[in-house]
Amino acid sequence: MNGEELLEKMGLADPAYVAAADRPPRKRKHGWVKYGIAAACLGLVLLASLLGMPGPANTFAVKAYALEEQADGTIGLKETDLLHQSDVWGGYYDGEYLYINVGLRYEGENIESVTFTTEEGFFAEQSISALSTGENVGRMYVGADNTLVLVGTEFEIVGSQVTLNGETMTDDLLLFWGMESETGVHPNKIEINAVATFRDGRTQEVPISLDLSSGAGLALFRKSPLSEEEEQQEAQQQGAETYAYYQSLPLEDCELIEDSVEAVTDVYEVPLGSVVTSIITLNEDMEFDEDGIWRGGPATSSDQVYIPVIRRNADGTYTGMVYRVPEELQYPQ
Amino acid sequence: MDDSGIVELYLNRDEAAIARTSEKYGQRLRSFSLGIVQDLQTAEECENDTYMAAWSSIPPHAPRDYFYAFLARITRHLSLNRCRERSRLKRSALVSELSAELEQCIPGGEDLDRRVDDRALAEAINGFLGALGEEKRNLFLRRYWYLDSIAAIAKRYGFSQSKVKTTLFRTRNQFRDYLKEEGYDI
Repeated sequence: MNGEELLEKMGLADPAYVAAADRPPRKRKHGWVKYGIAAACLGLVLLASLLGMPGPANTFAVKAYALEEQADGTIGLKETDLLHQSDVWGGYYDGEYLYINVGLRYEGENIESVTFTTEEGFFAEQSISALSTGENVGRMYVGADNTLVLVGTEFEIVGSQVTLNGETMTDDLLLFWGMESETGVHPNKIEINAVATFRDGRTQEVPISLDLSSGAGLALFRKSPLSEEEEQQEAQQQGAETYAYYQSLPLEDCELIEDSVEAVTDVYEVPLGSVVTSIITLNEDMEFDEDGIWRGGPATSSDQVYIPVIRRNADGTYTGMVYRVPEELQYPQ
Repeated sequence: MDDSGIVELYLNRDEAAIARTSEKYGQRLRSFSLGIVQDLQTAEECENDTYMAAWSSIPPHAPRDYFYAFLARITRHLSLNRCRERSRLKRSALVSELSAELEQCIPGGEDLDRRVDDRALAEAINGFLGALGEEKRNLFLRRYWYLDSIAAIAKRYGFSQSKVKTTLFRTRNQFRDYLKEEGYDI
């Protein structure tokens, strides 16, 4: 099977997934920057106010959770007092997005659901059960109590609004607030609005203000730069992708450089403009396709990309030529 | 008319089904096809062929829940076929680009022990998609099911193009590893 056939076979995807991918994405705020913070000291002030008069049996409180390592090595949730603790909080910066563990959850009576909304940034989720306890997984401990606030670096961005209810607020969920950041700089204050909807239809709103302006205990865990080996691997992968792309690009969509066409008996000197950039020597290892075409790797000159080609003619002779790739078909860098 | 109502028309062999389908989804299907075949007339033909194929396949199918996905799958298949039939000379650059990207997902090696038919391949694809988070799954499907451009995906989700490319790159690698680990020889 080749790539084109696999592309066709992607049509076998479950229609439920296909339909889900066609739904409009949850709205995200513009201006997110791509940075991840690893640990942030949060002076967090929770201001609660009641809007309306909830029924006497309706109660609602916002809670926040950090993490803790269980005796068996697994990771679980640990309640943290946001109201009275200006302790250290944690987060992660991956060079593109910044994630701060806010661990928001709720408690109360007769609650149908609670919706958290942020005007700036987004919410991201982490699945606690997926957090590896392996030795190579980064962890961050903060504060006098050595609180575990961050394990691992995989997050799923869910948008500027997240709704928790009895089904979604599982012990497996850890909620982060995040933003896109080019420099890792974060705002001094994060405003989150929590609205509880009770089963009797009443609502209660709690504005939450996270004060990040204090310098105390602000911690930042940044993604490690790629090692030399990783950079090399990434470059090799990128090179392989580029090569594969130009090997499959229809030559008919490219422009034949008329002056480059010449009969080849042994060696083809690849001309780009007035310069010979490389030499192709005919050899037995060359694999010609069914149309008698062999392509060399792409050559770049003055922002133009060229594909050198050797054509095996019906009479057994060879012709060398160069195609210029139109700008709109160049492989994106 | 809602999707369920339109599907009922098909099931009752009522020709109004096609008109209702065209009213509700015609433009989207045409646009989807146009993105693949890059030719309006061919896209219109694919759209009309989609209605005919839907008419032929409902019943036995009754896609009340995912009617648009059902139609779009037909349109996608027809459009890719048109690209293939049109000879490689005029094959869409997008199809070439996407094919090259998916080529990287095909594992090589001699340790793989089974060749897969469509049913097994569907199982593999859906097993992989099910293991992905929602965001990655949607990005992957937008690119390789809906054949969206990187720019269109970035705009749709409010991501940078670089973020989209990186995510797709990693997901393709995951897909290749998944196929290899599960022993699918495609």
